[in-house]
Amino acid sequence: MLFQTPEFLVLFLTSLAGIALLKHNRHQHIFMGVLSYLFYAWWDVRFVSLLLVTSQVDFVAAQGMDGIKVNWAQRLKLAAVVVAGSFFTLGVNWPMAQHQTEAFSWGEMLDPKWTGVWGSIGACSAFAVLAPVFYEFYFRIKDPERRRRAFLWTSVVANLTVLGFFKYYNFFSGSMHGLGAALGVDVTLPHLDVLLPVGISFYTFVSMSYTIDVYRKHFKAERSFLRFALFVCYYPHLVAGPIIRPDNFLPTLTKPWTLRGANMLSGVHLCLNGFVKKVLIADNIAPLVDVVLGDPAGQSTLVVWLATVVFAVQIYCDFSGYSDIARGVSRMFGVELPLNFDYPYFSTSIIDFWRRWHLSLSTWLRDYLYIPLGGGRASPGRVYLNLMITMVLGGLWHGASWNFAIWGAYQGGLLCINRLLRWFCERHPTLDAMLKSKPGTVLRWFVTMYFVMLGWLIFRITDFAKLEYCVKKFVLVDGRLALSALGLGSGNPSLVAILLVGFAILHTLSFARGRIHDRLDRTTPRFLPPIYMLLAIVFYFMWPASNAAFIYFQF
Amino acid sequence: MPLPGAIPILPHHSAVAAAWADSKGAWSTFVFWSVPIIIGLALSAAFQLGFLLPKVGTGSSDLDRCIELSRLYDSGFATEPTVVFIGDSLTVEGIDASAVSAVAPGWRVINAALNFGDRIDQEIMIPSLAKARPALVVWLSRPMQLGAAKSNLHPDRAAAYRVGDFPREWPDGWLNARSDGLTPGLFSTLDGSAWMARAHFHTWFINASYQRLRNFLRRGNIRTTAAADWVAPYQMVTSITGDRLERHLEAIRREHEDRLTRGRFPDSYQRIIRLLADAGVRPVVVLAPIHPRIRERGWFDSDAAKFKEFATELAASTHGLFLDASALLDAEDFADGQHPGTSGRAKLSEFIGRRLPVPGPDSTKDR
Repeated sequence: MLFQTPEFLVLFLTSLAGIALLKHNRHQHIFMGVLSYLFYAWWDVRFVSLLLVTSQVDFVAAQGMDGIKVNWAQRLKLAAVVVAGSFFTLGVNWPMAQHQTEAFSWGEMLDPKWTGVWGSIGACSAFAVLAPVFYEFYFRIKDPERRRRAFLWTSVVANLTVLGFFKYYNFFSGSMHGLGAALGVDVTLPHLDVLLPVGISFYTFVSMSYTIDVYRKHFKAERSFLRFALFVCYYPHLVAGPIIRPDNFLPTLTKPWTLRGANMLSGVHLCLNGFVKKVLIADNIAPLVDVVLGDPAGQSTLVVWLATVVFAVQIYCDFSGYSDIARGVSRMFGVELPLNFDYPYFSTSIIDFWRRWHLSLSTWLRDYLYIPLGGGRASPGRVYLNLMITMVLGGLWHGASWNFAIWGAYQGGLLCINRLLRWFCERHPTLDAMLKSKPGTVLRWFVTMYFVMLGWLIFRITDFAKLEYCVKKFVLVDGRLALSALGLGSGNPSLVAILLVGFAILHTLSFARGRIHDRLDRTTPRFLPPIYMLLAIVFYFMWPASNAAFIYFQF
Repeated sequence: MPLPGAIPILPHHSAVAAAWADSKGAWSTFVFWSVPIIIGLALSAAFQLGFLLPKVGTGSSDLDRCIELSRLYDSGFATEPTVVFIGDSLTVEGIDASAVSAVAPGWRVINAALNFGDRIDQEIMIPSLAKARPALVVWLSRPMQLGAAKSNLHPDRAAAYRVGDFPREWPDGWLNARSDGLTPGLFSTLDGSAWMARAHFHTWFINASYQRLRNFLRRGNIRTTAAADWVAPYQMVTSITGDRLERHLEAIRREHEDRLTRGRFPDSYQRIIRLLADAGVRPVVVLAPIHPRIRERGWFDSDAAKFKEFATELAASTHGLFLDASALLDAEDFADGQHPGTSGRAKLSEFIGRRLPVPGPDSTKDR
């Protein structure tokens, strides 16, 4: 279910009504949990069981870490939920009903025709049977610290196994095959038609952050499975973040959510801001990027540069637009989600860029990977290694493809160079002062953006021959000024130009004078209705005819 | 909290919006922002559906042409012997209806071809054309048109055909969501509400700006024609040579191989022709001109031979005609690797015009 579809509008209005009418927080949690699972099932109902299993493993593991022994009755109840959930979501013939590939019939409900169904149900059932037994076994470990560690590793291994299987199995088998072929050894692992569950990287990280925080004693284990399940599946953040932490969300569940006028207004301003970015800008400029970077053969340096800049704006507007809508919707419910973007294209260094781009991921990687590896408080060599490991894994988090690993390594390399330069400047005050002057800041911004843009090429193009061509054109200027390719295909350069200029002006104003949605919150109310009406008219005429998925859904 | 639906009192000019909203409560604030949005959307929809689409069109001449075609077919061809040319851009560029008329007196000649008018486009429109009952329908085809669709029907096209109400004339089971070139989403557009299809063209400003930009960038290379130009809809006025021509020939070869490798759909082609024949329309299948450089290289030889055999049998079984124009044109007659240029257009129009039967008493609806 995409945010810009009528189905989502119905879901959102239902949520508002539910929160307003249900006064007891437990009722609200049940209601929002059901809606969140519905939101996820709309994409593919089969993976609801995966979400359920992930939630259950981490819930129980955290309880164990806190020394709370879940009794057998509760364990069996949770196991029954998993078995029933897996039969309901996997066993019945949902794909036929959902994808309308063939006429739906009740007789086919228990006749699943798709591959892997019994294996999946078997895996869920085995989990449901074995988990309570293993749990008992863990509790027989006498040393509490060892027991805590056992629960933590169970949670981490379970999460990473699920993520690894669904997201990286075919990438791994293909890479092993390629490596084997290079070494003259036949390494052939079976190719599985594994569908990538939407948002799996996001909710796995959300869930893992909880167990790690409980292990570190930053947070007490949540006693209610319902509340914990809602923390994982809460639909505004579920499929593309922001990656929330337990302290962002769980404390809000202790008392009933209430709808407030200020939140309702401020939330809608955030949503409008997000829709402008996503629907008006990102979706309307995307075709031009697809035309040029999809088939770059013969394009000039100028065209590759322009397409890269357009892609940079597209991915920013797409992803930060999603985050704004997610935050806006959640704010209307009374829950504040963390900020995900802080004007990354105004960064004046790569370190600065990573403090502004996809904040919830970069802080997650910092807190749960970089710092445990030793962070910046180690020998210089070790710090650079930590940075490289963190960024390569961060790159691979985006997708199972070598270009993401290369992009991560590229960003890691840039961060190392940035640290080295900073160390050098600290020892050369004159150079440092020059770089901190106004012209020096402009120069730093320009250099940073050059390398960020080059990075987007690596991020966007998965075909290595095309990537090589574009990188060469980007770096080795060919001097050709031909723009003719921009007039062809389905891209609309005049519209793209207008939108880019509009984005640049509004974004700069917003950076210099405060976020537009915040300014709307502070404006005189009588000016707002005409603004809403004008925006509605612009949306009507500029909303692309086909709704495009958010880029980060695939991650 | 105020009751749901309570109308907020007009805000005081000096208030700050967020504080003001808090004082009014959640539902009043909800009404405060949702009502102007609904009004804005309603006004926009009224303007687009009530004025833009009926008076100005979709913003794209190709899409407007799809809708105009339905009007043309609805008017019928009862009054005079009519020959209708259908096909894709090759027919748009290759047929000058006035040149055909000049050598085929007595015929009203209509060039009803569409740019990107693939086999699926013809399948969608042909029942309406059959109902209009022209005496002859000429379909300029390439061997690749027996292969899989180049790509799925564009969603704008699906909406335009729905606005034109073409699906109304489909026989039972004529097309479905699994037909080549369609998807469930496209089929539901074709089969769905006409209002939704009209609303699809809310992107008028985007379409129109794109159309104008294309025309501007290609000025000197293309001419702009009216959507309802049934005589001389051709657009190309210059030709390409050298490397650009070679690249285009290579692209045509790739498309040819891709389409015929992905699948073959002679049945689909055949039933279009049979539907026309069953409606009393005489079909004329023309194997379109192939660029001499492609012929020299023998890229399409075996597929062209198969097409000739197929089309000859089809023509014989439907009392139609098959014309082979594959070797008709020289290199200088082409504007690019496949579209005829000015001289090619004249030659092709004359070639077909001279081979059309003389209109007889059975060439009108009353036959």
